[in-house]
Amino acid sequence: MHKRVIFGSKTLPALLVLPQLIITAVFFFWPAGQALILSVMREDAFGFTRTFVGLDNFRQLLSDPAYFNSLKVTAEFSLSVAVVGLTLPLLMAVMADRVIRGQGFYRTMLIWPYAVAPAVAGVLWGFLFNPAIGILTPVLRSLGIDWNFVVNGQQAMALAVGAACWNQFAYNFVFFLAGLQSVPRSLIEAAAIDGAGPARRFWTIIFPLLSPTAFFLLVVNICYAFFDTFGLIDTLTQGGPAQATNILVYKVWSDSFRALDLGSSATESVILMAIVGVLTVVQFRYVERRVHY
Amino acid sequence: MKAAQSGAPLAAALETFGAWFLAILWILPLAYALWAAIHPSAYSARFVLDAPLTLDNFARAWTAAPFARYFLNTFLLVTMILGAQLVLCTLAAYAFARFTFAGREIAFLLVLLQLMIMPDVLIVENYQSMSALGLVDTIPAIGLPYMASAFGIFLLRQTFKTVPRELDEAARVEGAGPLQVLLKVYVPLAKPIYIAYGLVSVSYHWNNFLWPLIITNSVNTRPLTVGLQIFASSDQGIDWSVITAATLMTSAPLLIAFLLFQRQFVQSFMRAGIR
Repeated sequence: MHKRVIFGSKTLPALLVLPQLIITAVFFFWPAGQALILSVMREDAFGFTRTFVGLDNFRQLLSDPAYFNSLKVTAEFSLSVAVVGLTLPLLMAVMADRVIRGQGFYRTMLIWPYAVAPAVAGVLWGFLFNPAIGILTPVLRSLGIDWNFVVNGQQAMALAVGAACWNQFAYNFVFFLAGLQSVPRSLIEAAAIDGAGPARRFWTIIFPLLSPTAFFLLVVNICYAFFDTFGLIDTLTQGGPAQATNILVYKVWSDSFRALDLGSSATESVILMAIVGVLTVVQFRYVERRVHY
Repeated sequence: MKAAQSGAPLAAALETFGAWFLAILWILPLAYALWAAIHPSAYSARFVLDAPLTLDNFARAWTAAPFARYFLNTFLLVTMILGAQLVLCTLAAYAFARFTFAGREIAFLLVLLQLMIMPDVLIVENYQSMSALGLVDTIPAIGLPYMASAFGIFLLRQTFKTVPRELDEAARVEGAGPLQVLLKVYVPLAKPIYIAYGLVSVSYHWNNFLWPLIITNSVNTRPLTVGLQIFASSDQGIDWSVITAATLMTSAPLLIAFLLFQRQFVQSFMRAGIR
């Protein structure tokens, strides 16, 4: 402890953390507190008085069919993104591990889409699958699919999931590839000598060793689907048709900046905050465990 | 293993084919965007080898919307955020890693708590704060909520903690003050982490959309992502070849950076990818 005596000044550390604390206080804790307070209050029609209403706002919100729909859509969207977004990169990483010629080029092709902003990916996919002029629309129609994601909610959802997975793919791929390459070759070869086929080797050796990576990516992907896909939804479907892709973050935005319903948006923010909080705790505990490992 | 592979050359060939097929499928949206952007719109769905090449779509996109200004805005935004993040996070991380002071635990707990709050959740409240501060529709307003990055502090604190105390003390013996020690000892040793964090931060904010969409409402502040969204959704009879040209143009700096520094980007996401 005597070393710290040389550090002398007591005001220095305070000065070091102060700028960061000020920004955090103004742009995180103040607004978070505001949202929490507003979520248990009700304002009169003119905004003059506020009364404490307990959990009424939450009750009201959860019984609102539009909000319930948004919850359902978000669950469907984020689970699909997580499942497709994890299995496909895993499959491709296993393949990339085997493609010997042109490895660098192969990886670049797969990693590139990550450089594209979600909002831009939405524009691009909206063009590819445009019901009138999209290059892939005739292909889908020739397969007997009556493709029109502008009016068909299920198709809009499928398209949003596809675009989101395409965009986020590289991230998952890179982590899986690194995970695969850290699996000891000797272990795989030993299993091969014992007569385990490729499928068996994958499920009994590789998959268990990759499962911590997969779990970490699961949380990251759910967070991605919850928040970072806002731009994608906005440029691709605007939450439609008939709210079929109206995920929670899009609804918060449209309720507050289009419908100007600020009371309900505070309650919505609080629910979203709670969801992120839980996800972060789960992720953090995992990261900690990995560090001590 | 070799015996198994040579026993089934067909299976191996099929696998290689499958691998390349999927990879090509993956690059197809970008490849098609490139095709549509560099050919006249009459050829956007006709894939013939002798289709004339043109840069006309890029030129039209460039003049149809103030993309030059959007580029400048995004560049300023990204630079400002990264600069502020590096300074603020370095100072705070140094304090958390190497000083004991009253309230350190609480202050660090607040940092961890901040990790749990996404700025995207607090858009309404932050908009109100910005308007109270008179900052709506300014570039600093887009950056401010991101400047005290909890993740940056966390990452740098972990790194600074691994710096041997002996180095720190040696510098002090030679008469360096605390800030000099930070600049001469800690910062150089954390260089790989700074690069990793910088790449993640720049690519995140280059592509960020929701908050900039809300807080900006003029050409002079709008970053590229928002500018492109407005450009693509305005029905002024702009044809899609021009829109794809604009799409590629706005993504080009990051696409090129990814191509040139692929290894560094990949390493960065592994190191600092949590955001």
